[in-house]
Amino acid sequence: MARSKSLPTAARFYLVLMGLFLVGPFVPLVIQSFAFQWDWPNLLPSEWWFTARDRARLPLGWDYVLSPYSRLGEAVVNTVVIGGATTLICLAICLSAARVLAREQFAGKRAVEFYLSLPLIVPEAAVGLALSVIFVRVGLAGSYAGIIIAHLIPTIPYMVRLLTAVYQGLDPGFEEQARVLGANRLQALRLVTMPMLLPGILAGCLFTFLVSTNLFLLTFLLGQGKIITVPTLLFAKIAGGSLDASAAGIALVATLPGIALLLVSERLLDGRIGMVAR
Amino acid sequence: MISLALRGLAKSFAGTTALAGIDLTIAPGELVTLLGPSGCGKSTLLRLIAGLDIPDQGAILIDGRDISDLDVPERNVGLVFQRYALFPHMTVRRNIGFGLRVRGTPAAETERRVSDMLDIVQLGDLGERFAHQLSGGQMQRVALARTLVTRPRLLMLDEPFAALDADLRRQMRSFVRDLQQKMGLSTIFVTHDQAEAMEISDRIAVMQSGRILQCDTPEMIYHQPVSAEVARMTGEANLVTGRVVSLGDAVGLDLGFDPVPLPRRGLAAGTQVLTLIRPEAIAIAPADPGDGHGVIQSSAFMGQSVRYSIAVGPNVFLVDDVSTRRLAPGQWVSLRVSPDHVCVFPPQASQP
Repeated sequence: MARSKSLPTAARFYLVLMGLFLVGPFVPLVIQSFAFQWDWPNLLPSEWWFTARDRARLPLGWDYVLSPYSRLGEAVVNTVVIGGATTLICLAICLSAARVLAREQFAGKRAVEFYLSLPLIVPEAAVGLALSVIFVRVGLAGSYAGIIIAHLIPTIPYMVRLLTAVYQGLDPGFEEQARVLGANRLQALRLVTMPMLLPGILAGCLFTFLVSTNLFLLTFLLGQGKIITVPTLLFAKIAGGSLDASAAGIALVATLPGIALLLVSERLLDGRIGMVAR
Repeated sequence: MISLALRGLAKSFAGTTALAGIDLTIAPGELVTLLGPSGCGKSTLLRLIAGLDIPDQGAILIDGRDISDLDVPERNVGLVFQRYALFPHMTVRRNIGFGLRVRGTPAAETERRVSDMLDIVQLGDLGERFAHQLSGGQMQRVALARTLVTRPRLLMLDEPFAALDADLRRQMRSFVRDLQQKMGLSTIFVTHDQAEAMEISDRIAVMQSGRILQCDTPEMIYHQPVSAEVARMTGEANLVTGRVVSLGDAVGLDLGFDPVPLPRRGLAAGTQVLTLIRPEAIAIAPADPGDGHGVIQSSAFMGQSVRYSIAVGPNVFLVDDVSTRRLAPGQWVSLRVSPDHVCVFPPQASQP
């Protein structure tokens, strides 16, 4: 997109407003993460974390966040492993489902589509409580497998919908042309369909990963305290209702994977979209 | 060079008949055009031959061997789609080399054959472009090259020039015809454009509602169609009912002007028959009021000719007059047709 000419004033105003809306909430969070004491109605903390550092017997603020006591490293690894596994499994399930939903007509298709969006309607707490009862019996509670299965429930509806739309946008003529030119089904899928679906697949994976890494209730109920992730760690910290410097620090760390992933995928998609879009 | 034979091919989709018993033979090196309106089953026929759809009935034979059981990639027939379907994420070179790559052709040979093919379709310096950087005509050449490079046993082209403008269509038409004859490729060409079909084909199969109405040389299709439908689908046609009259020991046809002698075909005098006369077969000459056969109702300048509609009794004739004069509406004219240019349909098929 070439935007050589300058935007009208109103558009620029909204752009700034949008920026403030997105970045604004982070500002107090960043300040809080460096504060020791910050009371109403002060605009800035009355005492910063680094000046109070020497007096405290326990690590404060960022010292705590980055120390082994916080268990943040373990939580980050767990979050990424669970998020990654959920994304890959979700993709494997949804890719074939989306292909059928987009290309085939069959009896009960509407029912299947409705069934697939049910998890969006049923509250997370209901799903989580029901699953934890079952998983305790079958021995999946407190295991990675249990959490990953639980994470698939709210992510599949989004992924299926997104990939169905992507498949619908792909002319079946490309695959047929590949087959007529001598490609077997696997070659057609690998050399033609997949590369053309890639932008949509990446978008779906990104979304699934972000949803998974932000899920608290399901992880909390099925992790049984044995497996901690960044959201459960954060909720444990702020459960008392107050936001201290270390909680603010963890919250900031929790936003990092999302931002990093978004930047990477933007880069990846940039070159591709130009090629596929005519 | 191979021959293709279709035996009683039938296909229906969800109860709607797409093809109803197609029999067609294509001789080695021959170009046969399927001509018909959209929805007549032309494309379905190509898809059955390519293996993309499975026929309900019938057999497809290449050199006498039934290929119905072969999967799409094993059939080794080329099909160029209407919408090119160039792979957008590949360069021109990789698009053309695709068929060789999936067959496991060595890289060096692939490169050589792709380069040769780029020269043949005159796109030598565009190899590194992507599809969206090409014009319509260039895309069409790539699509053609991509199919030809695999040396298909049979080439099928599904309305390949539909998206091109008139000039480019003409160029591509003769380009494809030359190439097809040079390579001796047995070819099926699909179009709904009768002029295109006439120009390019060895034979034309005129299709309607899933059937082949007539399959013959362009000349026979044009001058001796088997029915009024075929006549209408293959160009401008005057389809008029005339009366058989006796001309001494022969018979003639009365169409409202001087009776045209007919070779005796068992037609009794007094029979009403449906007749085809192409507009350019009628010669006209200005006449005095009341003296000629008909009156000009309207005229249109077509470039190579002037097209008149002329009322003769109850009938209106379209006449293409190749001359620089332009007669005005209301002008009386006399009409003349040579017997070679009159096609009389058998009486039982005389309902237009």
